[in-house]
Amino acid sequence: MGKADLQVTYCGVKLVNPFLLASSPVTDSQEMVARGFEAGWAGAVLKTTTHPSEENSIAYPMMAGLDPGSSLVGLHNTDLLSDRYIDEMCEQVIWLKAHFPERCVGLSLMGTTRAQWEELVRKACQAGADLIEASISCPQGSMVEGDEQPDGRMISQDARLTEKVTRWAKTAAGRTPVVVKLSPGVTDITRIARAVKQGGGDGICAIDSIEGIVGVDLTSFAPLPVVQGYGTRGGYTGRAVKPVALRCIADIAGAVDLPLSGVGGIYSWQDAVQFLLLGATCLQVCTAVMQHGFGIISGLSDGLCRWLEDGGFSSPAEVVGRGLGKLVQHEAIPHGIKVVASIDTELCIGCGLCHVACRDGAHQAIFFKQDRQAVVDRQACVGCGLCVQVCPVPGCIQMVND
Amino acid sequence: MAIDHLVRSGMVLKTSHALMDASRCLGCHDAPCSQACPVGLDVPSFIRRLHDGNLQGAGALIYQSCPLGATCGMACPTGMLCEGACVLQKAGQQAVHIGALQTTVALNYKGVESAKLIEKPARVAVIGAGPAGLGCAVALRRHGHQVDLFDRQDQLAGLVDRVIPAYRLPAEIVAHDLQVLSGLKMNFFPGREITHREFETLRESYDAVFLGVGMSDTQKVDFPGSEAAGVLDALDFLHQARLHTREQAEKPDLGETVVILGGGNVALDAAVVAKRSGTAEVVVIYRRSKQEMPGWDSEYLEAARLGVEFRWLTTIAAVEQKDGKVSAVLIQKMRFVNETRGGRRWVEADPDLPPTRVPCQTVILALGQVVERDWLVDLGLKLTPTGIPVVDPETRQTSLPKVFAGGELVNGGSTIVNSLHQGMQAGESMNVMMSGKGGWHGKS
Repeated sequence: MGKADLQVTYCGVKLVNPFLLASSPVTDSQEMVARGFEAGWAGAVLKTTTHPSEENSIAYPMMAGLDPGSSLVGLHNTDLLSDRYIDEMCEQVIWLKAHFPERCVGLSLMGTTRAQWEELVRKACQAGADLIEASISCPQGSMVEGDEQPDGRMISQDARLTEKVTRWAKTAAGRTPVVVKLSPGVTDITRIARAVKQGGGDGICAIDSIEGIVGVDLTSFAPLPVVQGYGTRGGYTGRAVKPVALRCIADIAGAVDLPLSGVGGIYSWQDAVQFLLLGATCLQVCTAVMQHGFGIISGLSDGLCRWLEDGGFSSPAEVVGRGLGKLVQHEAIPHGIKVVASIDTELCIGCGLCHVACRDGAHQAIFFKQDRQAVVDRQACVGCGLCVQVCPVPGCIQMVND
Repeated sequence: MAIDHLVRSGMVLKTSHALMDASRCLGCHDAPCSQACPVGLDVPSFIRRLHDGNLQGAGALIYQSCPLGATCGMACPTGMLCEGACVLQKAGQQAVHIGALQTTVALNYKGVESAKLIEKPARVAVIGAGPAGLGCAVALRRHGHQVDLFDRQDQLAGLVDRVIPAYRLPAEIVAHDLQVLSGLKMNFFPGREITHREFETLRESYDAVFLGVGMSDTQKVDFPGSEAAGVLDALDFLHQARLHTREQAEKPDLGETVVILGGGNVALDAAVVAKRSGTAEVVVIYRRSKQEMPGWDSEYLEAARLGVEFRWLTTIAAVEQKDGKVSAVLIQKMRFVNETRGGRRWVEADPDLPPTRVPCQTVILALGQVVERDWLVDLGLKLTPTGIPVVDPETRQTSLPKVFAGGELVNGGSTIVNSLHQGMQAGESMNVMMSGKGGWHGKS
């Protein structure tokens, strides 16, 4: 491990590094979280819980993937809340804080009424939770009673309701920070982010899973995962959602002055750096852990640490938001500078995929010679970069100034 | 499936495991694997169909190009063909296991081919039901022509299903291919040796004749004692061994030491079969050195791995016998002389070294197969100086009108897939010639 100090402060909570375990099956039990802490995670937001009066019935199986296996692109779940209600979760908070006082233990909560939210938050604070995460973006639906139906499927799709619920939680939380987790499934996420600020929220976590249908079973015609012939919409997470998450973090960072927790498709230290650069102060990880286990924290921390040192930075805080100034409108990108594809003939294995992609998806600028060597026609190449994306050999094709 | 035990034993990939390997295929443009395949199988396309979960579509693609799809996947020297051309190796990666994928897909294929119905089918006699003859017959039946298939043996697929050891090509694999082809309804006449007189009759009564008789003559030896009990012909030995694995023959009793004469794949197969059947000592006697050995490296390595002993630059001077049975061989050391014959370095007995005696109970002769030259001459075929029928490389037509030839008879012993390809080429060109306007327009 390098020498840079990975400590960050998020909503006033000190973290030994920026990496938290996101509220999910990964953080359902104190035993799991304890192992995560021992592996090196700075904290965890325990899986969303609620009041025992609320029904929480999960149908199984609840997982389905896009390209399952070693190349899993994205993971889809129809999970609901933890099957531990608030009191049991609070006991876990107490146990974890007693055993890992240096680690951040947050608790994700979901209520239906003002009274319920207040009771849940009060109990979490009394148990010693370092922060409260308000879960108002679950694709499986938010629980709101009476005439408080949101303008959508989730509370976080409704700015007015978001502000209201944030205020309920914050009022009950007192000095304990309240972080609100937002859904990307909105027309303008900055409106919702402003509502959080308006409601007194201390921070924003983005993004929650994306509402989706990961596939349809060709035998039963039901959405995946199929449960006795039926399926439902679910939350989509993992590698595939990172571009959406990065865009949301950048949008929110440019709109409100609140500390952000970046989540959505963080698998590598590079992903982590990208979230920091676009304005996240800390990071949350779930799907990568579900796929590869708690042990990935070592590579995440080490990679981040070395990158910081190589760049002459002493702390992650120094790079937060540094990429925002580079994010401009399309018309502000420098135009008219010609770049062309350049193929490293030593690395090229002669598969010809760049030739086919360029021929059928671009500008017919890569020829494929008899000796299976791809050759770029620098005149015809407009510099689109498609060939770089399809080449199976890392670093073999690069875009260079003409 | 009747091949479950082959999957369990690891000889055939489980479909799930095949999918893992399929995902490694890059799907190259103008794919080198396809170019390296004698029948030009569209490898990237069948692998993509496999990968996309279209197993039947993948199988149909394989059988369209390669009627012995499962057999070739398992018996082809893929390292010298498709897999040898896989570009992944340029990046230091293992080639996609194309052969294994092909066999898995082919074995999962449930389709049965059916012949086309046409108004005026031609009638073709195919002599020899090995890969070349089958290839020709399949191509013709697909076009709707009638095919009568003659073979001196009583089973289809020729040497493929007679002598290739079961550990390399289980009978079930060939049987599956034949099942897929069964719907083509070729008329098979087993146990039919065609004399040159019958050949003339066939030429008169059929629209065309295909010769796919292979190399059906065994080279003779003339050392003392070669008539002793326990001196076996390698092809007979391999055939008995293959029958034994099907429980259709007794296990050959070979004794403790087996000496094999020859350096081709048949010699190597015989050595491995003898070793695997529990023979303590197996010695291969080859008159040249390892560099000249015609057997494939993969086969040699397998034999060496099992502990087969190789004595380079040696030959059998004589077989000693006791009560009419083999008791020992006298092994003569050879040396290279400064001369090349037929493109090969020549050797002679080393006069300074007397023969050494090796006690043994079995001698297997694997000196190689040759074409039946006299028969070919009697047919009236024009032959090359080495005795091979002169054949047009595109149409496979011989010097005789409406007579075509392919397979080992012409290629002098190559791969199954090469013979298959030559037969299919012949069938295709016959179809073109026979379907042309004004009827037959081949050379006549």
